[in-house]
Amino acid sequence: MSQEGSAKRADFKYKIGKIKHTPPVLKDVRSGLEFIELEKRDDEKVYGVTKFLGNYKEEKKLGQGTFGEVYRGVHLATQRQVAMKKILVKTENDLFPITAQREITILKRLNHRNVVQLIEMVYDYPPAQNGAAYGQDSSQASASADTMKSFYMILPYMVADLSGILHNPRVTLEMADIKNMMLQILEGINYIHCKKFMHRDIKTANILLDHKGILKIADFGLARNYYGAPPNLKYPGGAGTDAKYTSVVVTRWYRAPELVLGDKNYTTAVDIWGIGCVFAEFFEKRPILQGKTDIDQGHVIFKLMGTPSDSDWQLARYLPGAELTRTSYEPTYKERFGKYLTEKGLDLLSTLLSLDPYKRLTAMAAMQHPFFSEDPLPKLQLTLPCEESHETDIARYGQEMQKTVSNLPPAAPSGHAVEQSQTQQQSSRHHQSQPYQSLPPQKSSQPHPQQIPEAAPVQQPSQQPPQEPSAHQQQYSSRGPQQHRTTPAPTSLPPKPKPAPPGARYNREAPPQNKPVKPLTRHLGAQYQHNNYGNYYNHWQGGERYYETYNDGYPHADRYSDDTHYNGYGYRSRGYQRYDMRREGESRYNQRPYAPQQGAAYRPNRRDTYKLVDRTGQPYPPERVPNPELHPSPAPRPKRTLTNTTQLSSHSSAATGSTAASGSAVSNSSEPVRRSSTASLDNSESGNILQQKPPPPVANPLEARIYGRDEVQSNHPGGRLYPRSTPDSKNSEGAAPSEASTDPTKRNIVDYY
Amino acid sequence: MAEPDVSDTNTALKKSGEPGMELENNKATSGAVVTEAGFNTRKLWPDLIKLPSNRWVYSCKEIVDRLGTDPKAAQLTKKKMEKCLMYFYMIKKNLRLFDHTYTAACILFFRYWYIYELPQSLQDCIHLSQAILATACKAMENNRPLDMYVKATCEFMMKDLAQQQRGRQNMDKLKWDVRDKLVRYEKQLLCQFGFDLDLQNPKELIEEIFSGFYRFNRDNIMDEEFKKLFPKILAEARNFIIQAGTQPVSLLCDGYTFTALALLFAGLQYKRSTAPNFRFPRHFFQERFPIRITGPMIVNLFTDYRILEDNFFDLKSNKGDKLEVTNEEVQSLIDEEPTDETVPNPYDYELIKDGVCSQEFLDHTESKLKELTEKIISESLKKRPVIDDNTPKDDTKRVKM
Repeated sequence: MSQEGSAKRADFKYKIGKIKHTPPVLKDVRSGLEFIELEKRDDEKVYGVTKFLGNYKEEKKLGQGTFGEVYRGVHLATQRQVAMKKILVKTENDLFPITAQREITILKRLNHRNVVQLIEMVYDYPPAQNGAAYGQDSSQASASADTMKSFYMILPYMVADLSGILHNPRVTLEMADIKNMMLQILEGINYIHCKKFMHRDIKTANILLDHKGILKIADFGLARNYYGAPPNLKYPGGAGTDAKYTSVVVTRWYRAPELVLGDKNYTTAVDIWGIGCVFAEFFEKRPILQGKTDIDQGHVIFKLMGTPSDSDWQLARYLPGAELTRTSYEPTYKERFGKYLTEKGLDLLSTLLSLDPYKRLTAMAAMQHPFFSEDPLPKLQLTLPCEESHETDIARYGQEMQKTVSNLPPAAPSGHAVEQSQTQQQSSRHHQSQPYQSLPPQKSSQPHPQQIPEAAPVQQPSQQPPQEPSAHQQQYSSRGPQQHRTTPAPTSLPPKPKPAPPGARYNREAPPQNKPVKPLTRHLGAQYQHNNYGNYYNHWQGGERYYETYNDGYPHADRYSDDTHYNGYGYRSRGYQRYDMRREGESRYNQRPYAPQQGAAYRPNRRDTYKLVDRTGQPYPPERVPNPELHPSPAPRPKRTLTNTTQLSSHSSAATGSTAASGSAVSNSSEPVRRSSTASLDNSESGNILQQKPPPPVANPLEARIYGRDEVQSNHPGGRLYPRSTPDSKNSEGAAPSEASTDPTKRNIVDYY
Repeated sequence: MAEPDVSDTNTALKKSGEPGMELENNKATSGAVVTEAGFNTRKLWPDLIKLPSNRWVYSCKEIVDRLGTDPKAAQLTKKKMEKCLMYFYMIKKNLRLFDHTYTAACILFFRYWYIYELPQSLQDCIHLSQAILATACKAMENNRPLDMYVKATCEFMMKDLAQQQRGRQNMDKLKWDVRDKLVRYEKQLLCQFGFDLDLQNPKELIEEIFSGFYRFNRDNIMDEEFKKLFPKILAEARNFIIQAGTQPVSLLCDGYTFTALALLFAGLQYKRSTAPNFRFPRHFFQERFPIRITGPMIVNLFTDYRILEDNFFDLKSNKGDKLEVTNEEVQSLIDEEPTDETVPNPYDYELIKDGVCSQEFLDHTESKLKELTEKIISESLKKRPVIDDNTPKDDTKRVKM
């Protein structure tokens, strides 16, 4: 009897309640692809938008930042993991952002294995609040006291992204892997282009990997349709169409040269440039073109690929940013990537990174490049990743690599250093609670990163290529030998956003200016604000999209300027132009047509900035320095180098040749300041000037004067260093505009073209 | 390592009911499928996800029945619908919107009415129409700032008010009210449509189907005489789409069918009025549309259109008797292969993914590129005349500066 009873109970155990039916995985025989078919819910008239309750369960918050919030959850009907990305609306009392609408509608129209799919949308309260319904801790539910409903994009959860993979010390990439991945990316982007969309934000962080090694292009937050014909083997999509789009798209380091120069008639070739950058990034494991400002990006590009001549790119010198083409850089990509790539590989790289967008390969042409048919052939199936690797894990990888060299003596204590290390400890403590713990047990037997064999399949250079050290690298190197890295520092992170601008606060959600405000993410630990390298890296999939707190114009979505047919109404799309309709009535419609105020500030109306500004070479002439100890004059350089700026003043110096030749001090001279500064530069070695070799062909003198363009030319004749970007520079990030930058007469650096 | 470990899984493939598909046994009782890297494939997604599609096409009877059996209520509904359609037309003029934005707004409006019914009050119907128009504008990349919609809507509303009421109406208050309603209704609308905004707008489709790319790569083998004539037919078809969009024809068929219907109507009128021997080239529709065009289908659609005209709005643009078509007439107009096989989609990615195209198209693109380059150069020279550094500079002027 008791046996019967227990048998019944066991039966009950499985039979009472609802029997859940999960849709099976099917296989399409023709394409060989597996798929799952979701069904429409009975209680919904239209499939597409639902609510969390009963459909999704939140598991964990993956990240929070300027981009919004991302959660990992479970799709209850299939019991599969999803990412739930909140769409942030700039202000509640505004229309749904067109960028978000584009992202959703474009994703709904794409159906390809190399493009991420949108499962559906959710319009609901934040899942933390809904979590209470699933029996979660109520304190957790009340943690985010967001009372407003929001839209959430439900996307299939992917185990890795390319940025995370490249930084993961336990992942080694063979050339066959790289070829496989390149072909997958090209196939995905070709599909997108053939469907008449441009992605406009190609970067490693936006290329996801699933557990089967299939790459998926994601984050269509900047994507849009284009006008004109789809691409072919010769021309990119939209070629020859007089359609204008905003040029302030794509994350800066992946921005194509035509965008950097302010071209608005661009094509799908902007995505191909991004893919070229990704291709090269496979080898250096960090973004290859890390411009510090929008303008600097142009210099960085030309330093790699060379300044384009007329034959290289006819249109370049007629674009708004044509000033950049007056530099004279030689291409260096062969030296930089020759150690990783064969001739064919270099050819592919150079044609993907062709400066002229119409000479750049299209995706379909790139897939047929001989590089993919030479040995080693692309792998048929990618055997990556070995663990979850996301962009948000990069800092953890950095920490791990630092631990590997912990047998070296510790750094000498100092106030500043102690603070730093504390921060690091804190952040590492936090990271220990990150998914690293959930790694599969067999991975613990992975070779220690230090034990990874030197002879990696992709030949790594024994020595880093000579490069201009970036600011954080310099900072890093100053910490001492014990902090020497075996892998590159996490430099492959998007530029840190600017702080909120001072002045009137138009964005009601922005923090008030008059009192210090702790960041909203303070409870998440330091790494959610900035990492140790001054970067802001907690972008899960893309940067600030719908909520642009930062007044930097980057990367702005083209809300209206993309409308090629629109020219009749004067309006501006930015928050700072918002006005009070009650008081100002119709004045909104009397405004001038919208003109971009930020970003790559190619302002045709700023004619005065073209002028050469006569200024002294140094703040004080040496004889007028009030206290030489407080204001030491620059150390005399050992050897005279002919600079552009010398050339610039060659007319005047020729006129005053006797002054220079005699080596007399100009301190008592009543000559114009400019001449005196020229002469005071090297009075001790002026005798050598005439014996010098004739100067090599040099960059644009104005350019050199403004920027101190390259290492040789970086010193002004006045002995004053003109850094490419100073905190005062309007384009520099992370610094509030000072008086010098707001007053054009006091500005040292001309930022505008 | 990401290769799924299938050794311990029940991977016996079973034929499913659908042809060309196999079912991977996925019993809930079988053990978890864990890859070498430790990923549970049961928790992650396969290569593709097939999503349910929404039904936006209905039979003529369903559409007419949706008006209800009460003639008073039906009349009221039609009055509200007319007002909303008038609103679209007026705002299109006011904000200088594209024709295809107007068409998109009409499509969305009829879809909304069919599924959710219109709001009770006329005022709310206008608010709803405003949100529909704003959504259509964004979907058609013809966007305007919020305040422009608000201003235009307020003007539209004020026109309806009597002179006395107009004076009493607080314009500022109305504007804020309209603005708030727009924001609220837009959100509601997006949820109700499930963001399914792939409208298959026939006005867009007709431009795409006969765009330059296809003109050079597909239509270059067309009869010269037809090539000369075709622009006229195309213009007539465009008119048909805009006018027919005002009646709920978009609920009768999908966008491609609507476009084909427009071309056939235009061809029919030309045949009736000018050239009795006119006929579309062989396989004209088969090569250009992912649908099969047959005589009876077209006759039915024209008949349904006529019924809708009779049941809905009495407009100047109504086609009336012109929609009386016989099967023979249609058959004499088209030259399609009568097959039962499913028609392949001529816009399938697989067909254009290799990028092979005709030399004429490449030449055409090159010439357009040259034009564009010259235009950019001339504009650039107007804005920023290029200064040649080698030219001697006038020193006197420089000194004066």
